[in-house]
Amino acid sequence: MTGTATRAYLMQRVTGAIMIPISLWMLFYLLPKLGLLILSDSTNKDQILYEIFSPTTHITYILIFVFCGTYHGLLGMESVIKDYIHCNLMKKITTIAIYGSAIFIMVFLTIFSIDTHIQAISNFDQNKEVKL
Amino acid sequence: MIGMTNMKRPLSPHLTVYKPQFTSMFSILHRATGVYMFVFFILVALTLFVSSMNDKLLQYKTVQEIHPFRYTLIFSIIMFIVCLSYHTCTGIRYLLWSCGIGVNLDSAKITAVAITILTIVMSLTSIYMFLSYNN
Repeated sequence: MTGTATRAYLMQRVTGAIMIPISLWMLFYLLPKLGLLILSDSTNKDQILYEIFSPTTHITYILIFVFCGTYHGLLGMESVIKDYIHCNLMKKITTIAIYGSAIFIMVFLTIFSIDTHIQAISNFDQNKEVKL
Repeated sequence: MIGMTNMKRPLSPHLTVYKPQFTSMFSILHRATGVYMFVFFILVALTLFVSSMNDKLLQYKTVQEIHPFRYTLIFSIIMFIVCLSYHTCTGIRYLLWSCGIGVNLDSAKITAVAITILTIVMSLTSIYMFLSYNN
């Protein structure tokens, strides 16, 4: 690897390429299902949550999207800052803010999705036991 | 002093100098949608963080309890769908350009039309699927 700029350029393309199929999955499966979870007043939300979050493949896609998306976004935002902000102090402040938010998104959404995965399985199992 | 001189420098892509061209417009929109999605992710993480602090830790049900923001939430998710569709389509074009495929004006025009149609079709389908469950 020649330098940080080349690495950033390559990593942006690699993460982007990884995210193409996952973006399609999000557009045509995850977001409509989340819409059902957020918008509808149906009572079987545990069932919907179970359908979305319990398969290991789904949670893997979500985690890949969170990691690749945040890294891709971080690189993109960094280049936007470099292009449009010329005051050195503002550049430093915004870069620190972007890095901070990227770390927050990565850590929190990872914990959240894994926790929801565990909760979805346990809630669904509990409901099953109650019904039985 | 150095900071002051830096502040007076013009913006590097000189956006106001160039005549708007469709390639530059697609590029600017690609960046704008990217920035929107990054900000959207920050807000999603913050919303989930705050809602998880309210009740039980990391309890998904509390997301529905933010009723004042219900329509804002729906609108921002629809915007996210449009942005993700557009960003994915143009992203594929930039990946092809990085590989040296279709780097000429004719191909750029064809792919621009393809991107516009694909974005509309993809986002409308996804929005329809998103809203049709709401009953």
